[in-house]
Amino acid sequence: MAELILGIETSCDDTSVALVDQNGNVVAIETVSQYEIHSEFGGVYPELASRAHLEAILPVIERVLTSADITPLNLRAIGVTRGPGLMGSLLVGLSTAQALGIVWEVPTYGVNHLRGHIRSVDLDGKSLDYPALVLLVSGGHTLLAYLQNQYSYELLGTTRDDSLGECYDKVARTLGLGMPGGPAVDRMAAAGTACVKFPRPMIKSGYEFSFSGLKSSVARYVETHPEFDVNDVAAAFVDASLDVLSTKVQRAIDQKKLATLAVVGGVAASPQVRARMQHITEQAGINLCLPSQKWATDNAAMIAMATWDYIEQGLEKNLEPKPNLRLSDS
Amino acid sequence: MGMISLLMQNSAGQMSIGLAEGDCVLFDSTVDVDLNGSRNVEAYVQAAFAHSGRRIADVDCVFVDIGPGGLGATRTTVAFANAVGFAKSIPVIGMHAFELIGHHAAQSLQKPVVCIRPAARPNYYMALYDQGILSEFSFVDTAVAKAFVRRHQATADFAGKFSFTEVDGFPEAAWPVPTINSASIASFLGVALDKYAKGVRSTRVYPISENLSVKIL
Ligand SMILES: [Zn+2]
Repeated sequence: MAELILGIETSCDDTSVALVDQNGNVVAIETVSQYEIHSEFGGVYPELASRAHLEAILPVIERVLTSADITPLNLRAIGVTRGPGLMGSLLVGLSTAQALGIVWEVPTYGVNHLRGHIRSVDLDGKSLDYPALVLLVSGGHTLLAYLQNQYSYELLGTTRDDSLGECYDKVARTLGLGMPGGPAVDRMAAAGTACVKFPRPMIKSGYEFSFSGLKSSVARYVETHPEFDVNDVAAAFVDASLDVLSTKVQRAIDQKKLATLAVVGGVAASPQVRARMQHITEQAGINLCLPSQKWATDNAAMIAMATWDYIEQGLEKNLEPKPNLRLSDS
Repeated sequence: MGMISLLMQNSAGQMSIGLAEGDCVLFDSTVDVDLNGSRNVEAYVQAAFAHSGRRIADVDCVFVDIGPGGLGATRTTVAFANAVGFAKSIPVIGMHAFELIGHHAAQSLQKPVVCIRPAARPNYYMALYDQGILSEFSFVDTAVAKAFVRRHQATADFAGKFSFTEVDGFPEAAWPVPTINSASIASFLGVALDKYAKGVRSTRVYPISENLSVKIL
């Protein structure tokens, strides 16, 4: 049997465990969502998140191993997210992985969650053409990275405040739409006209993002226009965020020699984002890579996938939690 | 050969790990190694095996401090203990931190021990440990905790941590000072083996503050 990596992801509010081989085939995966636990708080409540991870993690690991009929002898390594993420949540995954590694005598790697997102494009046996530009947009992150090859990451820019996914959720709340906010905003936007002009923060230069001003503008508009049309406001918001994303992506396409644009993270599910990126890459004559939705959001398969890189590159087995880990860190 | 026990204590925010065979301590991190206050569980556990000449494969049972105390620290060792138990199919037994510190303090003092630790402000966890029995364990606000301390001040000793600064006829200097805030490994082992002898077995445990059924005041 092929050697497998047991991936463990507990950085935020999902407990996810997966078995992945070196070619990116996902042999087994289970993700337990804490969505219901946090929904009444309107966001992730850190104490409850780490408690839920503690309750879920071993049963999930057991089910994943059993479903794939795998024993620890089949494991090449364990890879567990060490950051970025919530401290209490990271600690549960790290401590668990550390103990399993010691008892099973399997090497255990602390993995950068952002590297996991980037490697999610190669799951299911796919392989990205390099050089590539990766746009990671989710509830937790917004960043643009240039990859010369599978191992060399250059962070072009990240957000200075809110992530785009966070901004979508807050706009959804402002507009009185349900959670999760992203799909709701996109649905309304599809039926509206972008007749309000919201700001496009930091669009003029560079690769850095900022979304809190856009979010506040939407809130201010809604406050001062009691008769506002939900669809139109949603459309105007989506239009503004898409303009920012596509301008930065276009800038990178113009400045770098690229074979592929990959869009990953939960916001990559947005039909509007997909359509706009499709258009840009067609114009530029480069590949567009959109991983399927199940790999776009936080999951352990991407962590296991990234763990293979740690082994191949001989990176340190560091199990220290780092809530603010950056893309350039291993 | 006696049962090999792995003992883990962390709820006071200072990790200590022990390894024992039967009632004999083989390793005590508080005296055997200087890990400089490291918070890396693996460093402690590896030291335990390196110093005792045993292997993790030899361990028959894990006893872990489940608080109340520092939630993050407690959860770290609890997650570790649960995973060791899972991977080896051995019991993991949760130890009430107040039983551990109460027992330790009572051994030398022969008096009832008031165990008290701060919870989320302005609350406290408290209990009375007397003759091997923990009673009145509760989650209370500062006023109730103060009254409890004053009620027992003449007859009991104190373990844990608290600082009451308000005067109200009772100057700061008049409040008692807790003697200890964590148990020695030898004392921990005594409580652990007693629990084991009573037939307590479990495979997964959780920090106490996370399933406390006492109403929050
Ligand atoms: Zn993520």
